[in-house]
Amino acid sequence: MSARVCSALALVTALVLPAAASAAEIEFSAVVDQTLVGVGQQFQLTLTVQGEDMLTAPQPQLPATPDFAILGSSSSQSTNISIMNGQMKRQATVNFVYQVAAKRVGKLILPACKLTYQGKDYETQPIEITVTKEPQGGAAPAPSQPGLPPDLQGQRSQIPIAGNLYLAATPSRRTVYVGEPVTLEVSLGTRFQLSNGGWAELPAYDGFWAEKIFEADKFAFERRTVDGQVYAVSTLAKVALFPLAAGEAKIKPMTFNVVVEQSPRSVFDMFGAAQNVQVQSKPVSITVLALPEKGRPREFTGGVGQFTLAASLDRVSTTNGEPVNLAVRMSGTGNIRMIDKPGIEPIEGLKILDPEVQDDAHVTGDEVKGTKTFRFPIIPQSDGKFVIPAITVAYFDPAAKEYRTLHTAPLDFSATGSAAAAAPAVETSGLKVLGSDIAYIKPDATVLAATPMSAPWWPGLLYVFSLATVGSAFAYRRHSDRLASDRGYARKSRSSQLARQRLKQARKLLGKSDEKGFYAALTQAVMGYIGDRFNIETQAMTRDQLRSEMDRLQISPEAARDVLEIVDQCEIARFSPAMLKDGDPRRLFERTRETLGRI
Amino acid sequence: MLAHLLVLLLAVAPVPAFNRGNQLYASKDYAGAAKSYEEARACGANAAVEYNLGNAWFKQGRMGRAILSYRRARFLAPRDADVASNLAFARQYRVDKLPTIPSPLARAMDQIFHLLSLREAAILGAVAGFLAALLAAAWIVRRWTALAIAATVIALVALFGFVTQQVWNAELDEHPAVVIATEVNALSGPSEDAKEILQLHDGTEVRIREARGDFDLVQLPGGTGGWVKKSEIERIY
Repeated sequence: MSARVCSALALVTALVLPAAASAAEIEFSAVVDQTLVGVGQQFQLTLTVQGEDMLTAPQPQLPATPDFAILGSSSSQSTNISIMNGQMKRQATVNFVYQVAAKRVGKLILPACKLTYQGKDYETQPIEITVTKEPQGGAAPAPSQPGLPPDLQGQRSQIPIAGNLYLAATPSRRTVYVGEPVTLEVSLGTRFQLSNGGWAELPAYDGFWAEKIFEADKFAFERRTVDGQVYAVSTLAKVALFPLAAGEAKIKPMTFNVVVEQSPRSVFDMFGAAQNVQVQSKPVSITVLALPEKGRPREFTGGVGQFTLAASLDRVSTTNGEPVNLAVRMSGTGNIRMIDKPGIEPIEGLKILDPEVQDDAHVTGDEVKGTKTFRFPIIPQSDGKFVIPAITVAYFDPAAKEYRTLHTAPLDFSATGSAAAAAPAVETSGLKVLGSDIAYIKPDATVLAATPMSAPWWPGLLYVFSLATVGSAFAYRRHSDRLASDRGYARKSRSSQLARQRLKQARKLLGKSDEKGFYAALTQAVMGYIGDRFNIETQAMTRDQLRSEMDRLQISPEAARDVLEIVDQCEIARFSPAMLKDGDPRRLFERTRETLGRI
Repeated sequence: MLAHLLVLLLAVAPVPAFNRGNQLYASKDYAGAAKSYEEARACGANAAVEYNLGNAWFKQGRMGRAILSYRRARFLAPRDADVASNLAFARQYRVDKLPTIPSPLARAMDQIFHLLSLREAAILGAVAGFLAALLAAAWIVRRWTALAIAATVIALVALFGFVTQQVWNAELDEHPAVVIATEVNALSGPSEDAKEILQLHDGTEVRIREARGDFDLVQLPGGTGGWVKKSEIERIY
C-alpha cells in the first residue's frame, strides 16, 4: 500500500517538479505569408510562441513601425501533450496573427518583435518586405473571421484566382470624339461559387462626365463562354462616360471584393472555408479625338450628339417694365449637361440678362437623352414692338462627323408703360400722339441776369427783428396793464416825472423871489416824491410820522436824515424866517434834487 | 451807381454766347451748342442757360450731364414746366431703373414745397414773418380781432416760406450728385484695388456721403452705395 502511494507520489512529483524546476525555454518566431506585396495591400504576420509548460501566454511587443499599419490582430492557442520517455511534456503553441499593410513603396524591413517571458527577452528576426506600387495578384486574406475555428485562421487559401475569377471593364468603343459617350460595362466572371461581394472602392472616372445607366444591387449570373472557358458572368454596372478633353483618357483599374465559397475538403471541416478575394480590372485606354477646328461654326456651344432647338416667350406683351422670359430649349441625345448657353446678339431697347439653366437628362436604353433649357429674362427699356431675331446654335454630330446648325424662328412682343411718367397718353380729343421728345430750348434773350445760388443774408436778421418787435409789444402791454391796474406801480412810474415838475415849479417861484412859495413847493416836491415813490399818503404827515415811515421803508439813514433836514429847513423858512441861519435857497434846491435822486 | 452798372454788365455778358448756342442747337450742332452754353454759364447761374444746356446734352445722349443741368435749372426756376418735363424725360432714358414710385402724398408734398426757389422762399419767409410780427405786436397792444386774424394768416404764409427753405436746404445738405461717366464700378473702399461691388450708369442720381483723396462715397436711395472716382460724378450744387 505504501509503496503504491510512494510511487504515485513519486509520479506526481516527477510530473510537477520538472515543470517547476525546468528553466522554461520558449521559441519565438515571426513569419509573413507574403514578402512581395503592393502598397496598402494586406498581408499576414504570424508570431508564434512555443514553449513547454507555459503557464501564462506572454504578449509579444510589436515594434514601432511607421512604414506599416497594423489593421487587425487575433490569437489562437493550442496545446500538445505528449508523453515521452515516461515524461509528460506539455507543449503549448500560441499564434498571434496580425493583418499588416505597407504604407509606402520600396524595400521595407518589418522590425523584430520582442517578447519577455519569465525575465528573459526574446526577439524575432526582422523580415524584409518588398513593396510595389501595383498590388500583387492573388488572394489577400481577409481580416479575422470570427465564425471560423481559430486553427483555420491564418491558413492561406489554395484557390487559384487566375483564370477562374475576373473583373472586366469593357468599353463600347475605343475611339470617340470629345463629348461623345462611351458605354462602359463592368462585369464579373467567376467559376467559383460566390456568396457575397461589394466594391472595394467606388469607381471614379477621372476625365469623364459619368451618367449612370445601370448599377447592380445583387448578382445575376449568366453562363457565358469567354476564351474557351465557361464562366458565370454578372454585370455589375453600366456607365455612359462622356470624355471632357481630347487625348488619351484612362479608366483606372477597379477593385471588387468577393467571398468565394470553398467546398469542404475534409470530414472534419464542418463549414466550407469562405475566402475573401479581391479582383481587379485591367486599365482601359480610350482615344479621345478633338472636335475638328475647321468648319466649326461661331455658334457652337459644346453639344455633341443629335439635337433639336426650340425657343419661346412666356408672354407676348408686357407693361411697366415687367420682364419677359425667353426660353431656349435644346433637346436630343448626347452630352446634354455639357452644353453651354447660346449667344444672343444685344438688341436695342432691351436688356437681356444671364439665363437660368435647367437640365434634365435621363437614360433611355443605353443612351443619354434629355433637354437643356436656358431661360433669359428680358427687360424692356422703352416702349414699342420688339423682335427677338432667330437664335442660332451649332452642335457636332459624331455619327456624321460634321457640325450642324439649328435656328429658331424670330419671336416678337410688345412693351408698354416702361417709360412711366413720360408715356404719352392718347388725348381725350382723339388726337394721335406720334411720339414724344423733350421740350424745345428757351428763345434768344437780351438780358440774362445771374441768379444767385444761395439765399441772401438779411432774412436771418429780419427774423431777429420780428422776435424783438413781438417781445417789445408784450413788454409794453404788460406795462400799460400794470399802470391801469396797479396804482402803486402807476405812481412809482410817474414819481420822477412829478418830482421834476415840482422842482421846476419851485425854481420858477424862486426866480420870482417868492421865497415862501419856493419853500412850500420844495416841501411838496420832497413829500410828494416820497409818497409817489412808495405809494403812501404824505399830504398830512407830521415830521415824526415821516421819519418813522422812512424808517419802515428802509430808506438809507443818510438819505432819511437829509430829507428830514430839508423839510425842517423849509418849515423854518416858511414859518419862522427869523430863525433861519445860512438860508441859501439855491443850495437847498440843489441839495434837494440830489437827495431825491438818491432815493 | 457803379454797382448797378456792374450788375447790368454782368447780365448782358452771357447773352452773345447764349444766342450763339441757340443757333448751333437749331442747326443740330449739339456739341457746339453745349460749348456755347457753358461759356454763357461761366458768367453766372441762369435758369434759361442751364435748361438749354441740358437740352444740348440730352440730344448728344449724355443723360448724366443733361440731368445735372436740368436739376440746376429746377433749383433756379422751380415752377418752369419745361424744366420739369424734360427732367422727367431724361430720367426715363437712363440705364439704371431705380425704384422711384413714392406715395401720392409724398409726391404732392414734394410739388408743394418746390413751388418757390430757395431764394424766393427765404425772402418770403423773412418778410412775411416780420409783417406778421408787426401785426401781432399791434394786436398785443390793441386787442382788435382783425389784427389777430391778419397776423395768423401772414404767419402761415411765412411758415410756408420757411419750410420750403428748409426743404431746399435739406436737399443741399445731402450733397446730391449725378454719375456722368457711361459706366462706373463702385468699389468697396477708396482705392483702385478695392473690390467692385456695384455698377452704376450715366444719369444715376446719388448723394455724396464722404470724400477721401480722389474718391467719393456715394449712396443710392435704397441705401446701397460704394466709392467712385471724383471724375466719374459731378455735384449738382
